[in-house]
Amino acid sequence: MQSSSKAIIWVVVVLVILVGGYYLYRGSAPVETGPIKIGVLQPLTGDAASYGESEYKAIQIAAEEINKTGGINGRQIELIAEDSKCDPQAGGTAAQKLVNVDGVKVIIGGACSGETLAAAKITEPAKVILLSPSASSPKVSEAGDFVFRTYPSDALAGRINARYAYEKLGARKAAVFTELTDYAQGLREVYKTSFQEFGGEIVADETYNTGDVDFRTQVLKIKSKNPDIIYVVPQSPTPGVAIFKQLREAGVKAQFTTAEVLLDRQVVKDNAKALEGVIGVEVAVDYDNNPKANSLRTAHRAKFNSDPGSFAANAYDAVYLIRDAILEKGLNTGKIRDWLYGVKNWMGSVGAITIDKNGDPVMGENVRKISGGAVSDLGSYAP
Amino acid sequence: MGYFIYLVTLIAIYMMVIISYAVPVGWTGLLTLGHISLLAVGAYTAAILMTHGVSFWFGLLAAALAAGGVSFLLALPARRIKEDYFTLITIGFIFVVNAVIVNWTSVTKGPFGITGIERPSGFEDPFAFMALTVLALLFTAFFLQRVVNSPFGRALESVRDDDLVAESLGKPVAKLRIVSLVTAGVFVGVAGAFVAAFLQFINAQVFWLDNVIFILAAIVVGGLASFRGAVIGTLVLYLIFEPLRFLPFPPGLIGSLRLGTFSLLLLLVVLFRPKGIMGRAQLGE
Amino acid sequence: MPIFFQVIANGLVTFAIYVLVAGGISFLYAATRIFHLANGVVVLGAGYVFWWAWVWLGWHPAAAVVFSLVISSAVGLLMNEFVYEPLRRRGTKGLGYLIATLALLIFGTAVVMALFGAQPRTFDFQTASLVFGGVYMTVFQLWALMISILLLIVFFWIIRFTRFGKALRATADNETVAEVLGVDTKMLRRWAFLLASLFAAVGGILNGLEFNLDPNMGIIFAVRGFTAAVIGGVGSFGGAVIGSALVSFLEQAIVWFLGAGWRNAIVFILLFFFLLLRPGGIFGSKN
Repeated sequence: MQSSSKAIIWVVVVLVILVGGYYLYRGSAPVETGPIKIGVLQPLTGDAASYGESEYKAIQIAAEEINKTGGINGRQIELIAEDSKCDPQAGGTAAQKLVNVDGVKVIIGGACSGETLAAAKITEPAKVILLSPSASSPKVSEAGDFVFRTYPSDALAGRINARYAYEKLGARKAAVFTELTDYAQGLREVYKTSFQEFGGEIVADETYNTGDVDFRTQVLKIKSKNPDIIYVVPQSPTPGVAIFKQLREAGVKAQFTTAEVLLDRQVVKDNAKALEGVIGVEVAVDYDNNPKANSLRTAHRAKFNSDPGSFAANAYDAVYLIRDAILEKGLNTGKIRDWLYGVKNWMGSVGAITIDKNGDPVMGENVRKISGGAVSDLGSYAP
Repeated sequence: MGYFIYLVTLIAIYMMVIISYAVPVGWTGLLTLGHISLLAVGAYTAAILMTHGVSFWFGLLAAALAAGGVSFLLALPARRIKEDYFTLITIGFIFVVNAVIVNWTSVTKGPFGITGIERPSGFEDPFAFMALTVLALLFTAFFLQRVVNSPFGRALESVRDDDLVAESLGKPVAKLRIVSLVTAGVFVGVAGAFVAAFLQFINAQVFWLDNVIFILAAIVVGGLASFRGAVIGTLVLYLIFEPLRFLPFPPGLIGSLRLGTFSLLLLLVVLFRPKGIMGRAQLGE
Repeated sequence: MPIFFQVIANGLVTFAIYVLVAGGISFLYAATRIFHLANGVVVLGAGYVFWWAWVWLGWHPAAAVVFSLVISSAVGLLMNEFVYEPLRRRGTKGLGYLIATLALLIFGTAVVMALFGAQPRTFDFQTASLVFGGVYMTVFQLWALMISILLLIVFFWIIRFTRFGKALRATADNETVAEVLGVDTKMLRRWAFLLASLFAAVGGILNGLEFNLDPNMGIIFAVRGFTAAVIGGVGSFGGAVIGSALVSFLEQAIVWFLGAGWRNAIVFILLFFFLLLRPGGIFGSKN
């Protein structure tokens, strides 16, 4: 063997010993006392950071509230957050660290479906609970026995939106404008299929890349087809706001509709003009009347000086669900899993949640309207 | 322990890419940034085949051929174009591959990515898979060693040092460049197959700009025209970065910290120690 | 027909911004033989500094603009002084600079991300839409276009009619001869970087107001800048203009006919063929 190949092997061996030793030293056996470590796997940087941060903030608030009232069975919650960047590779690495180095039994995350699916590959064999507040891909339903979510599969929101558009708003010609990501494309496909099924026509189907800022050409194409209604699905708020801005600048006259992401309360406040009159579908969180949601909003304003963001309610509920599970069943993940599958009409900030055999929640989704920088409820609607 | 195995596997895969690319960059003097795209080509080829029932080993072979083939196309301009421009093309290529991955949905499933990639039978255990990856790395290292220590390797170096002189001495400069790029491509294709089997789920995000600077920095910091340099460069960069995770930085800052550290190191090396840690040449001299 | 004109109008806005960046890269290459991709950092930084001064610190927008221009030009000059000049003194050629400029570009992006967060930011800024025979443009878009054209005219005048411009052209043609003839090439390079950075900074501010601020902008503009510059012909004023126009309008056309997904890819394929068949770009080059 050549001398430098040998050198490579030696270097690798030495480093393996050093680094391995370090990790073995740090690796912890499960502790029966002391704080309960809960992993948080969220995109804190990158394109999905807006809701990664939104979810993380809500998770922090929930954990603080629980800790203030004595924690779980007297033990405080300790959150360990890792950045998954909405990337399967980063998600996998982050999950690895949380499971193997930090020794967590429960992870709340990911936000994106991609990172959730990658993390599931690691949490499943380790029998760690993975509870996602926002992954929407249908594939997550089959990702594993210990994988759950507090957000329904894509199919729901897109279909409700399409039906509402056709039946309630009387739209017959729809234009769809979506970002080229799994979340947005999932909604696009469901919307298109549903709208056409109800009898409508899709007159324009435009897309854009993550990071694009100039939408005028697509806006022009949409305008030239004279749609009654436009369905815009961005992955993060900024392009969504820009699209509506550019639609208005071009003088497009149609009903604007959107998905969850743009209903982020803070975004709505900051972009009142651009989002005026937009209708969207989101989980039935009622910040005014639901006591849990109300408490979330108050705490959020106090701690972060802003309103809860996208999926914040789902994340907040995720923490409380876990708390309830641990309160009843302790830290055995097999028992937590069984308890989660048995969840029926559990009251969260998003309303009642029931978890089905795939670990997916059955929960209400409502139609909302944005006006005057605030979100008002138009009631629930069947898919 | 599991985390450690995971890290070693990941580093081994990246090292395969880095030492492969050390050949065109360090020995042939071609500053190419296309490695992440070739990795994508390899990974997607393997993933698509493996999710249609093909075994990992055939997927590996196909990935190597596909990446090699694409490298060949990318290498063609190297004949006629000045070095700076060639680099720019390789940058552009990253965007082209990304567009193909995201838009050719019938084949690549677009933004949804490809799930359910199986590990080769017999190697499902993480430790076994790690061993396989390290084995592949050693084989790559061994093979490339022979390549650069041969007359062919010396010819490559003459092209790097002064291509006009090399040409006048009768060396087929264009062919040499193409061969070095294709060789790198083939091994990166193999690494791509490993990425697919390792992550078991890939999408366009995995093959985007973040890692481009890491790979370049590893080669330059370690030193050009030296495999030991490339290896050490990789390990140095990785081991500087991993412990940062354990420090009490707000998690969101880590991404920019990583980018910043790598690029700063690269800059400092270029300015103050162009040969890197143990390189035998510098670019642009 | 109005659709066609609207497409043109849409393209004009992006053209106005690209040309400021591409022009800078192009003429810096002529003056210094460096592909200053890190010009993207100036574009990026200018937008964010402007945001910081105007929205965060609450200064008057004009003051914020001036502040941003000053900082951005300083950044450009510093990059030259502390990175490119030392490399030049060592006799570095081509690729050495390219690695340095890439490192600067990424480093600059990382710094901005660390300071301002990784999420895009917008200015809550909207102007009225005007209609000219079925074509919509906003007031701001018109301003941006006018500012850009004005700067181009100024630049053209500088190149043609001032001593600096003549010295620049002489250096671009043959640096050694220029030096022999008494041109202080070091000072020249400094002025060149100042000018290019100012232009890029204006582009960054305009882009921030019209679109948004995104940490990845630096890389994106660097890439678009060099594409436009190379296609048009590096080192040529007309080249930068034509290249930027071509890239802008081509992008709009691609989105129209094929959809947004292929936008970047096709522009690069175009670059590929240009470099393969006509490396000098449309206007030839002063290589």
